[in-house]
Amino acid sequence: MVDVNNATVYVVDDDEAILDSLQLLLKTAGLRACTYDGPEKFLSDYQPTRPGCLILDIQMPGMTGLELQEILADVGSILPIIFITGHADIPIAVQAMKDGAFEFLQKPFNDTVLLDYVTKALSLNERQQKEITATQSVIARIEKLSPREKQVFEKVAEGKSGKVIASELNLSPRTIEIYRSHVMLKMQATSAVELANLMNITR
Amino acid sequence: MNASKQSLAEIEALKRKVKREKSARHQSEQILERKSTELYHTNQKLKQALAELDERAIAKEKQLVGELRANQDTTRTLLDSAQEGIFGANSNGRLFSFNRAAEEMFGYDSGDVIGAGVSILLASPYREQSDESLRSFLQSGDESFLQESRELIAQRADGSHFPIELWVVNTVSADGTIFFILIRDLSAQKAAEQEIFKKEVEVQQARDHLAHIARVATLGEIAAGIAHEVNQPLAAITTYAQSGHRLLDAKVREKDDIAYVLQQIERQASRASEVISRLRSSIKYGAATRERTSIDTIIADTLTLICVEADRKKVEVEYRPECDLEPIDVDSVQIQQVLINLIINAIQALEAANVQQPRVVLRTEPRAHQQIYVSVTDNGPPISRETMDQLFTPFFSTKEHGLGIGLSLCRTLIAAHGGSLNINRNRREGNEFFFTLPTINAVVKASKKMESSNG
Repeated sequence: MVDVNNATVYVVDDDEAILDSLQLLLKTAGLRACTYDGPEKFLSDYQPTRPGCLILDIQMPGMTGLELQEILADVGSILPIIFITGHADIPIAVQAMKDGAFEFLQKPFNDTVLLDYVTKALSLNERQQKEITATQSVIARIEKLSPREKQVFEKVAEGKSGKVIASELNLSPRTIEIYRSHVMLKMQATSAVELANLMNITR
Repeated sequence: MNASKQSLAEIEALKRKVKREKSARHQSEQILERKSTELYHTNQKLKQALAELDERAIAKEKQLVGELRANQDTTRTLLDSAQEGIFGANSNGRLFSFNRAAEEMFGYDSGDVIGAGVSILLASPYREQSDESLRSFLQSGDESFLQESRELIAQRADGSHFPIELWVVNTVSADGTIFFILIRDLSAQKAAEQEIFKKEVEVQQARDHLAHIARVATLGEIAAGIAHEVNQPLAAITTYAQSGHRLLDAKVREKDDIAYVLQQIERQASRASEVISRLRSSIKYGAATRERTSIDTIIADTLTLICVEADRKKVEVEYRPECDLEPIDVDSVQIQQVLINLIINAIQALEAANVQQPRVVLRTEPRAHQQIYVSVTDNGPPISRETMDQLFTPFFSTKEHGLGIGLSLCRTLIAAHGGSLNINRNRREGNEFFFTLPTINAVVKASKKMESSNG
């Protein structure tokens, strides 16, 4: 289940009534909402590590929703974006989805559908957040390996046997065995298969 | 013997007496005869003189009759050759002459109507009034009866009616006042007037229709913006209502929340209906109606209609009002339409040219001769001279899907308000379209001027 206590639903729309009604709807669904009447205000408040999702209007004076999406993509944000728009503008919808939008809803929207999208977006964000955390921890572990251990780690992860690695590195199989056990320990793995998985995460 | 002698003497005397008497008688007879002869001659002379006189008189009379007849013929020819129907009437209103044109107009032979009353030639109610007005003229001598031509309805022999123009001319003859009445058949003229009126109505209708089309077309261009404006409150209402349902389902009800939701729904609903009524007043199709307003109000209303479209195209639309402008009597919707046209044109041109920081500025200024000046200026690339020359030509458009109605119609609408619309040809940068409108004072002055020149 999504950790709703921790996640925030961000809403960006230039229309005060839309913001207010969405805040109320999200509140009744037990979600925490944070509203902004323009992309600029959202950006000044934005912190990449905070979990959540973004409900974003497209037509706004000043910066549009699509432009905000582009900026967020540039800074590597993983915040899922649910676009809401008053216009049934198909080319814009297609562009938004191509650029990685999570969903696209036309105003006025059904609350069940919106809340369903929000829930899915939050769980996606949570999952992605976890993956990022996992990757970051693997990278941190790899960084603790010595250069020689790193070489052995890569070759083991590639599925090579101790003998093959020993001959490739011009070391004895016995030495390789010692390095291998160090790598297993430092990478918190119990088998060559696990090492291979950890290797894949970083790619 | 003596006795006899005496007797002889007596006889002789008697004989001489007789002889004397005879001679005297003869003499008398001769005189008588001579006198008689003289008398005869005189008589002859007299007779001759009388005969001569007679002859002359007859000749004179013949000449006069001839001249009179010629005169009458000329008059008759003149009357008959006239285009107007002309008939003469005596002071009792009885007809004594009726020309050919009148015969043709009325379908009567002159013989049928001579002696009849003038009133038979007129249709009701003029028929009943004609004798009365003739009488009152004869009594009062009111000259207005003669001075003006009047339009009436006449009646033909077959009972059908036709419009006429009528003049009355009077003259005094040995028989008293007589009238000549001149009549012009107005059927053709009236029909032509009717036709012209019908055409004018058609032209007006076509213009209204065109205005409607252009207005709808223009509105089509900003319809997306309007739809957005209506959709926003609708979306909010939907979300509020759905939140309301959730609040009712919640285990712990907060009464204030429900009240808040209802209040917000109400507020958003009236917001939506305001947009609709604004839109409705803009597309209202009908004849032009003038009302007293200010150009500020019209521009403000226009900007609320245009702002969404401007935002959408990211064009800054700015209004720099001049304070203390005099009020105007205009059809607000038409002036709004002109402004919308000019602003939308500018926005589209700016978009097409991909101008950095696109901008449209509206200005108002008072001008001489009780005019106000309204301009719409953009910072786009200047319109070429060739295009400028054709800008106001109907069906000319530089836009791919343009109808080419906008500017020519705008010009017509402004002209109908007594103003003019044009492009400023002297600008180095950007484009400035401007129009003028007379203020209410200018309108008052103009009508006063007309009154004084008429009086």
